[in-house]
Amino acid sequence: MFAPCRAAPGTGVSPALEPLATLDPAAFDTGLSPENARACWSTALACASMADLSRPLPGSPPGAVAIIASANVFTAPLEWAYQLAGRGVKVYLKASSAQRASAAAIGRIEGVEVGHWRGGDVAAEKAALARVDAAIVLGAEATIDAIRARSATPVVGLGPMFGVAAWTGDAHAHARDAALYDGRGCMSPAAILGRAVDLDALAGAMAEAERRWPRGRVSAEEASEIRRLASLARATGTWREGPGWGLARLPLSRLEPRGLPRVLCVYEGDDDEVAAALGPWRTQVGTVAGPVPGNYPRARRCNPGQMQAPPGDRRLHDGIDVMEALWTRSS
Amino acid sequence: MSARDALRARVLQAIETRVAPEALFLDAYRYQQAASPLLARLWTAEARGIEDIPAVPVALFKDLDLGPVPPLPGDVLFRTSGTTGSARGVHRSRDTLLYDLGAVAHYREMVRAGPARVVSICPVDADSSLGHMVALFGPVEAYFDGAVSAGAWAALQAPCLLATTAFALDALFATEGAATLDARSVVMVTGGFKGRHARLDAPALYEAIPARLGSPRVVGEYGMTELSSQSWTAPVAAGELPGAFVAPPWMRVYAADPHTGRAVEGEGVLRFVDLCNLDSVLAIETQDLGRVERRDEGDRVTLLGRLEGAELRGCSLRAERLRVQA
Repeated sequence: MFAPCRAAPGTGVSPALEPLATLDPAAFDTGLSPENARACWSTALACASMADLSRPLPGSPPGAVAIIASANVFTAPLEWAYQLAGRGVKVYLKASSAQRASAAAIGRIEGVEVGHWRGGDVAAEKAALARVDAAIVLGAEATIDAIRARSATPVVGLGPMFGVAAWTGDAHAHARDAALYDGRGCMSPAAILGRAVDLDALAGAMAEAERRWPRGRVSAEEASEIRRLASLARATGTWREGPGWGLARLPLSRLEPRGLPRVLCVYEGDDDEVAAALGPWRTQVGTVAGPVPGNYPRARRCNPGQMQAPPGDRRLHDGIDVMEALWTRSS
Repeated sequence: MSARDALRARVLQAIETRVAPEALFLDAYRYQQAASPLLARLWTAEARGIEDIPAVPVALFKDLDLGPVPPLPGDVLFRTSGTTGSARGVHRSRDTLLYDLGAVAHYREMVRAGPARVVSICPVDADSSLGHMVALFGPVEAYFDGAVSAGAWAALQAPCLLATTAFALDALFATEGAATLDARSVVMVTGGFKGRHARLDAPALYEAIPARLGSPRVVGEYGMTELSSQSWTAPVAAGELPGAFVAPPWMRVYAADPHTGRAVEGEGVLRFVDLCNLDSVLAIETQDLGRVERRDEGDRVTLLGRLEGAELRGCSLRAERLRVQA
């Protein structure tokens, strides 16, 4: 059994985040459709609002923390910016140039300052890190490693992760998880696992999710990868598609995290087979929905439909107590 | 005579006459549909024209064995270099007859050169199709062992076909040496930089040829492991930039919208329909962008870039970018 996550609240945004709640994220140029961007934004605000800002932490608080977000979904820095600022820590947020608008929105939180420098601009990065006691770096492992190597500032790195879900029969819950962020987020389901998966129900739910939260921009490379996946699924399993979505059933031996926009991959197998197939990636599984067999030490467990709604009061993110790490490392 | 042998005879005739009717492509499609259970699952529709033949994404060669059924011990395997991804793609055929005759015929047509001494500085493995191809043009002296090797400049003191990738030519020019080749020699440049660091961009690389190699003719070659036919540019004088690639008549080329996958006029992701792929997959979708002009004597292709390097807009990365835990 797993401890279910608290349901994401539909209302109840923290007063500190209310200025953000009045913004329309459709203007953030996230690549998502306006409907999807709004759904992601409101969910992220509600989840961040759940953070317990009075939770005792060991050590002493850092005076200032930099959040460097390179290749992430546009809401990724939100919960850290909110929690740190809410505890009186000065926050310097650096997001990629593609996320200037959403970073500026997060900069509306009191105590958060937004800065920009070109990726790879080592001098600017060094100057920024010299101002802080610690940094949270969200992005590729190579980016995290490079920043760690270049700086004496303590770094909490949150690298690439992916989500998996057990087939529970609730096709709409799975489709919702796949729809938010168009399936590109680290909490998105890269795989639906189990037995007797109802592809018709999933296809219907994917189509309905597309109507509610239309898919956004798809790059040429992603479109090419989708054609590759479709061919692979046709050759070795089943491929279903509609306007703006795809559904692949593949042999479990083909399991790999893909993160393609609005494409859901189904792999059927017994518990032992599923656990074995996921084994090579067990430390990269960051979100597990439903009773997926196997041990995933860094994963948050939740119910299907809540993969994209991590409650802000959870202690661990990717297996790391980020706040505790910041407090102890900067002591 | 088997269906394969009958079709092969017609492809050989197409190579010889440089005329490949559309009906031959469609017959080859129907043959592969019937011969391969895998392709039968991918190709469920009738094709009324060449562009109706569903193009298989080139990356699928990393996922599946798309060679003839059943695999036999004598089959020929060409493998991709693996420089653009972690897995190596495999292209399997019964033999190389069509590959060899097609490659030599189009090389001679385009380059107007007979057998030559080949100096190769291509970084090729033993199972590379590029290595196989250059060996068809003459005896090969190879000067690459992880880097351009020391004897390369000495080997270039006599007339030859210098077979090189753009990257290797750049590496050669980074070493001390010079040659004074004349127009009897040919510099064959294949492949781009594919994201690898290079000192020179393409125009500067070609402009440097007269100072370093003399006045050989220069040609560009476009090929890939998953295709059995190659496209060549017309030769140009040293110092000039080669122009558009010309495909042989037995390999049709068209562009497709990279987002929708539908055939388009002019620019798009390149698709090749290669009769010499009779044993594997007739129609391939590459990850190269280009502009195509339809010509009976051979479609003309101008390369515009690659699909790779698109922005990743999420924190979930694909398998090859994740660290796999043992």
